[in-house]
Amino acid sequence: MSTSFSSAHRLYVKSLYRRMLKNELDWVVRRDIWRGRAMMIRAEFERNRDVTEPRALAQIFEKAEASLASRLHPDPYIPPSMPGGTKWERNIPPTIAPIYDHMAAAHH
Amino acid sequence: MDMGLSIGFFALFALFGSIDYATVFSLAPFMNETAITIIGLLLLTGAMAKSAQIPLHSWLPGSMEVKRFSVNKNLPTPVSALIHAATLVTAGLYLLVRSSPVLEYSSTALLVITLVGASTAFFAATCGLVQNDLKRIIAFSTISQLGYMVMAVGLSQYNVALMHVVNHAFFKALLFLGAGAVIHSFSDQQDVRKMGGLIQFLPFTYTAMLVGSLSLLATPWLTGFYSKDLIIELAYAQYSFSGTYAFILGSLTAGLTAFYSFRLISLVFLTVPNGTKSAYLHSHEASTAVIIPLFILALFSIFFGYVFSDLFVGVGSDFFGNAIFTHPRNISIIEAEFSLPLIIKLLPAFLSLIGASLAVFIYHSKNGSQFIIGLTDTALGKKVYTFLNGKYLFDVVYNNYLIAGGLNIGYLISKLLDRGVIELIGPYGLSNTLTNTGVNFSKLDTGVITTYSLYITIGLLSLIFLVFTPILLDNSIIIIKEEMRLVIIYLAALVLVSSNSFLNKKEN
Repeated sequence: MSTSFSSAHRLYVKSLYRRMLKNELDWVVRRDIWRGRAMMIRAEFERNRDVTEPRALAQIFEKAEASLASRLHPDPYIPPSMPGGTKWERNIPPTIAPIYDHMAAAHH
Repeated sequence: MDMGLSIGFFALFALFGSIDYATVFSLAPFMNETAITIIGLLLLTGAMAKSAQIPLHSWLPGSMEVKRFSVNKNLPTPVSALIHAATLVTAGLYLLVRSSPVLEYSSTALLVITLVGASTAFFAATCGLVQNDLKRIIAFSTISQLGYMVMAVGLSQYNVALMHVVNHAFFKALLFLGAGAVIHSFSDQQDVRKMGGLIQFLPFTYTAMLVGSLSLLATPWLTGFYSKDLIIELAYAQYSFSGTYAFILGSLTAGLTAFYSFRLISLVFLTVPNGTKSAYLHSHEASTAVIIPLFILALFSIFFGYVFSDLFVGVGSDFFGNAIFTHPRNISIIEAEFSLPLIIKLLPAFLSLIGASLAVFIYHSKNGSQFIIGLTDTALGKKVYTFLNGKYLFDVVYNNYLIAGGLNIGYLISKLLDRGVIELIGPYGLSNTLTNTGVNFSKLDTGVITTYSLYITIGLLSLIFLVFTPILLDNSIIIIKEEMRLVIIYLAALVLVSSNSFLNKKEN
């Protein structure tokens, strides 16, 4: 599909959409309630789908980022194994390499 | 704060000449009340740090949770159960209970202890309302219960405080181990927002957690009821400012305790499943080695209070003998048992019931969820949530203001004293002086014979001067020692004067 948007732009919009959805789920918890809000977020994105004028886009993004920042959850959910999660770096296997330099020298 | 405790011990020793229990306790009634107050407050600082009272509580939830981008990992739940339920945090409280014969003679210290305890209980309960980490919720519940215990100490009800320690150990260990079983079975997930519906998968763990929670929120005739409810009643029965303060905050906290306990139960076990499918597929009931302790603790959480309450807190029980001393002025157990209005006695249980049903309604039914989400949609609701979720922003204040200040002072001390003045007049200064002296002396080697003869003359003159000065000063016989002293002073002066690097630069 040909599009007039750069790939960086599309990545940014996708990231914004994901961040909004995740932030909303942090607040709402229940998915059946979250679903309605997700649809509203989607509708907002769809409404501005065809805006190509850079200045108008910048304004829309600024507004979206501001509204996201004002709604940001203070204690966002982090999956246990992700950085900052409860299981992150737990029980790291010991390194195979010698810990100290003087052990690195071959003795035998 | 251990420093405060140490100063307290020093003050005890300074006042009593001993830190022996028997001596201190028998002399306490005859001592100056202000001194006793100071000692009591110093002991309190130690107890505050150990038993996680405001404002020294932040280490306890900190040891539970993972601080983002930090290397400190959270404790395994059995360790949490051991140190947060039974052994570590109760040490501060034990100190206060054991010091009862001293504390009893300072009403000011008791007042402060009551205020600190009641405030902590309320503060931790409000924080626990909006935490999302399973273990952090239980950690705040621990702080809240410790607040109750300290409050009981402040109200002079040491035996009730001690009984609450014991009861709390049973149901809190049960809750922590139950939480561990849940976390382990649910793919190490700790966030209650990603749980729900686990009652179908973990029926035994659910039962255990439910028993622990019910006991914690002082459901009548379970273990927690016999100490926690009594603390609140005793607070009212004091008919004093601090007692009323403790009663109001204690009753509110009872309601909040019920709310966050059942919020936990509701979010983890009851509501619609919010976790990932694979986590549910792999969830499993814990092994026998976990089930046995949970079962034993559940039994104690139900029956211990009923069986042992008369021993610990019964009217006229002499179980503690002389170990605990309550001034006759402060005894209010009879008032609490026999003369309180029924409404006052039932108020905590009533508030608990409201809190528990509200939590189940809000977090289990869709309408309730929509109501609470509507609250956090408003600007004020979001601010309150952020404030409570951030634990009253104590950590922010500490990290941004106190810790930075402490680090700055430490840096200054290190740079100006340790590696500054002490280095300069110490090792570095000494070696520098000697080096400079050597450099300067080497410059005397000019190769000019007349200069050498000048050195010889000066040397001879100074030697003669050194030898004969004592005779010039007084006509006594020359004593080798005195002479030696002069020689040493002379040599030292020579070294110091000729070490001056200023001379050095001038030459260059």
